[in-house]
Amino acid sequence: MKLSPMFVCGATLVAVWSLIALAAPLLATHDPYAIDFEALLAPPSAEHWFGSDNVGRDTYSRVIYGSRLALYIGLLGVIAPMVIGMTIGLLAGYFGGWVDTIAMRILDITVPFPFFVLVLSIVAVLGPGIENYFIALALVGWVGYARLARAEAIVLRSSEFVLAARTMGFSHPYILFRHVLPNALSPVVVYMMTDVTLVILFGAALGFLGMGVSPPAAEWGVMIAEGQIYISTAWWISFFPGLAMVLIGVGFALMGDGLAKMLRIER
Amino acid sequence: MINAKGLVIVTFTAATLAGGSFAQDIVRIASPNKVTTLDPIASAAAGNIEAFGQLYARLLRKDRDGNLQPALAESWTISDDGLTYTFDLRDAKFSDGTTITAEDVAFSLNRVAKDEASAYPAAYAPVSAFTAVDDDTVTLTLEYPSAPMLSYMEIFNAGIISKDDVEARGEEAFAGDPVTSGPFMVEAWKPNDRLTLKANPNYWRDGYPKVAGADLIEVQDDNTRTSMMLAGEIDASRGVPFAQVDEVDGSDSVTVPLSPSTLIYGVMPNHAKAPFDNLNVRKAAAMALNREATTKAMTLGKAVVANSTLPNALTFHNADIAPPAYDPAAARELLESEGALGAEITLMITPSFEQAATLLKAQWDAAGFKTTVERVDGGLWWDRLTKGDYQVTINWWYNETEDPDLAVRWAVCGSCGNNSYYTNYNNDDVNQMVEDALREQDEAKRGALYKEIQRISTEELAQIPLYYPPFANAYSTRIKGLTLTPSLQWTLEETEIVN
Repeated sequence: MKLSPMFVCGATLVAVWSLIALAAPLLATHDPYAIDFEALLAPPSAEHWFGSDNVGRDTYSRVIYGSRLALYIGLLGVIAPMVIGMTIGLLAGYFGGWVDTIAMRILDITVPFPFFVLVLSIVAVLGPGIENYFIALALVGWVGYARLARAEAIVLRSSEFVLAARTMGFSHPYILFRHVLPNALSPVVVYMMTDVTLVILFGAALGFLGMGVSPPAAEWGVMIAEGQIYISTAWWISFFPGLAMVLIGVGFALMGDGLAKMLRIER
Repeated sequence: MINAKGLVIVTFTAATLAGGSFAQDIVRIASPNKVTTLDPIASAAAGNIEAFGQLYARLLRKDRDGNLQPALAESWTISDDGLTYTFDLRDAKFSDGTTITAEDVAFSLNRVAKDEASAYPAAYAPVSAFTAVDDDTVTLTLEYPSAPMLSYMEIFNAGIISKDDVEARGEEAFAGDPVTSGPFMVEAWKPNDRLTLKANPNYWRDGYPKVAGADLIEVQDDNTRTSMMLAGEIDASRGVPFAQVDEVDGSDSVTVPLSPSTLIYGVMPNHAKAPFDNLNVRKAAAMALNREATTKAMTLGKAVVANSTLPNALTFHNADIAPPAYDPAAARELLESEGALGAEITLMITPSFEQAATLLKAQWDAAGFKTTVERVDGGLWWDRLTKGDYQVTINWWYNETEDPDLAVRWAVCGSCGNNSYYTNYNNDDVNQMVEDALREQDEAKRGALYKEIQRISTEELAQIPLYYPPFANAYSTRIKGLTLTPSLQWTLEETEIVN
């Protein structure tokens, strides 16, 4: 398999962010939560590389630590939707009939609502916090996975190796796990890459709106919100977490696109 | 970036919404505070206080220097025992052209003093009754003397309303579209959006108001107000964040004069709940705070550090006292000796106090508390505050007059109806002095009582005072003469449009 340059770029960015997240205590120059009255709104300097915020915390160290939360939210946030979506999609596609009808009607109900509006309303009902964001994602985010998995399963169920397995008398669960699932996985993984980007961005958006991770956490959305009224006087408070978000988002998006391209070539 | 994009969209929406009011001869004021009723006795919330002054004239008014001047009352006399006030009314009319009679005055003021729906009757506790003697004379009789009573004839809820109007249409209709006695009358009111005012042609002050009308627009978001201000869509913006003052002030067409206020910001411990029922724990909490640096961080050096439980703009402010000085090591020792080291405390805040919460938590935790920050919206905050369902919170308050009577009743009096601003601070000596000071006719003795009240309540840390900020409102150079008085009243009637 030939690596696409897009994938290499994206994977490098993601790898770099993963390293940053792992080595955060080594890379940070300050305690990300330590206030410092001597360094209120300090511009970027040798002491504070990305400046400091309105309580004197070091923006650079907070951005570094923020990568942990971003990756945590992004990677953990896609697991539940993927598992739920794949299960429903595979069952619906493989068995067809009434299973398919029920699953697809539920999906039809979920689809018309704009994704973020639905997530926002669920979080608003459950209360702010990252756990509730995960719950909202699980309730809403499975739809995309289900569609993909169902389409794959429909194709796979009439493929020769599945039919062969059926005639040999293997059970449905065995066939689903052994033959259908592995072959349906690749488009889902590609979709998951782009989904990680969305989950990170929406997580930050919730933090910005005060409905996600709570201050004083070093979370990029929260940091952007904290810097909002200083945007014209102390731009660095919001700018650097914003930049970090762009870089991590671009990383996952490129990786997903590159992977998609490679898999199409494969086929 | 989400931030920059969000800002543009919000600004655009606000500009579109404000589109209806580009008229040249009206003044547009944007405030984050809501107008929820037009009945002057029904609410003491800031947004309503700001509106009442435009709608209702009072017996007295304050000039720009804060001196009391005749308004609907042309003159007055006070009996020697201080128990009877006689007001002579001038010939004046309501906005519907009917005469403002002594009956109307007595009705309005008895209503604010005695009606159950009166949201803030504290000033009128000594009132026995307002009586219409004849068409032009009203007497006020008191059960006991009240030194500041005359100045209470000027505050926001002492506005004169039309008895006929209220009785003919009912209080509810009145509260939505009242007949007015002040410089303006209601043209349209859209709750949660704007109150549109037009000049009252029958206003008693000849030649006022100088503008044809005004829009009081509700704009919650600080950034939106600031962008509207810089774009020239509004003429005044209430409450510019200190972080934006220099930037907005630097604009050619806008000024942000810092004007005197009676505001005070402070930490409010709940004296009825552990651990803040213990004076030494409150002391430790105060000593843990570097109040100078905290003030500087929150106001960017634009406010004065508070030294007393009362605002410094009040008469008889005690300048010789101070809460315990910053000493985190001593705070820790104190906590240790009280067995309260590691005490878990919950700081309840509204979203606007996020920065303060970060600062307080860091400093308290450094001195040996374990602070949890709990975020609630404004409505729930008030609900839980009034029920005493909190450990410690942070908030501000202001005083209607420069006289400290209402301030001590609001903030440090345990027997005045609100349990010392719901902190449950209750000191019988202080309570007694509050009543004594009200009745005391000798200025010097009265002053001494108020200074003593401040000394005791500051020493006992009824609240931990933080700072005294000025008002930072933005004004367009298109208008002249607009300011917000310390009593939260816009001087809109004296405002002119200059270009």
